[in-house]
Amino acid sequence: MTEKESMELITSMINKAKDRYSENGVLYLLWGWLIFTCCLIQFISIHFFNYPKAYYAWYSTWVLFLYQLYYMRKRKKSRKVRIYSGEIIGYVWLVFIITYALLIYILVYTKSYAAISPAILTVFGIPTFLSGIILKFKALKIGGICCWILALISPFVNYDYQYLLEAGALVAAWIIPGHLLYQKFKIEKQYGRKATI
Amino acid sequence: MEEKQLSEKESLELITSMINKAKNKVTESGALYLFWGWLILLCCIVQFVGLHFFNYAYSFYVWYSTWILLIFQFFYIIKQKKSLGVKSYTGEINGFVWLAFFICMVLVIFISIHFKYYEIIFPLILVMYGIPTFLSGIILKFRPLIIGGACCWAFSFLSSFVTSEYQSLFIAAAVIAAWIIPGYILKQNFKKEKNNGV
Repeated sequence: MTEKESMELITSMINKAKDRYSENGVLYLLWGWLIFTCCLIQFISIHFFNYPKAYYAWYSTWVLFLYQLYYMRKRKKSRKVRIYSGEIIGYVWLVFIITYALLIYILVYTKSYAAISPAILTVFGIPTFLSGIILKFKALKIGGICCWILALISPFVNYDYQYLLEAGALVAAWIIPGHLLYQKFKIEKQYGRKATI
Repeated sequence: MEEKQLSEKESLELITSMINKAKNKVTESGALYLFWGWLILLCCIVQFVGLHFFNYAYSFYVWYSTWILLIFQFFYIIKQKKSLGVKSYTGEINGFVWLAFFICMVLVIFISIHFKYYEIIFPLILVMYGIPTFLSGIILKFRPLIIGGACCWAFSFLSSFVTSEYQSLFIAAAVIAAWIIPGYILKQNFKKEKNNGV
């Protein structure tokens, strides 16, 4: 093998792995739209109907969580190559779940309810921004930064409006990048080449 | 130029050596972990002793010393960046993990102070400490940092059950587990690698 040939071999292997991993954005879209809907339901019921029990809408996230477990298992089986960046992204999301659960627990336990929404926005920014860095995908980086800006604004608004900020963060962080990723994935699949968006 | 013929074995060796080279570049000397670990440990102890034994409420001023280290770190990183020619992919990701941590840390402290929820500051800081520690452990494939990150989260959970006076002791324990112990192990590894020229 010449140096050139071995480099070509490596590049082709990397591309193969990349293709197999290529984010289709489905999970971003599913979670983005579901949480976006929950936020809107909660805002409308509190703001217009003064109905405080709309938080029950959030229980729907458990259904999606179970579906995600099934989806990831299915995907893992079909994927033969495990690449380093994919592994790191997995851990970034694990860290997000741990951090999210701990923050909610601490804030509820200490009855610091007003800080919940700004803290959630802060934490949303972490996996979004870092996934953007790891996948080298600008829309996710911008989405992460949007979450942090909204987290800074959130303490200054009334708590019913905080749900609107959360909905805005989801559009910027998961829904828009999710659609872009989905589009890119479709183009790549159709033409069998890398698409730049 | 004559093209050098490489056997499969040779090309693998070439790749391995290149990976090792890049690895060495990101090899952590542990210096920043140790600086921050010891300074925060000292701040926690000063605050605890000030509050617990002398009932002195202003001992939190000791935390302003972190600004000095922050400025020092800024110059240290610039110097290090100049001496490192190649920027590896993992090194770059690790840098952004710490940037995200810094932003989130500032945000949660701001949010807690804004709502006057002073008793949640330390537990939230502990949750945040776990993030870059755990992820750096994953990126550098260095188990003491992974364990350190998990310790931070365990301490954050426990610290919500005690008064803020004792919470500073949990921070002290967390920086020992997350930054000081891994910092010394990193330093030792770094010295060994430098001596062996690996």
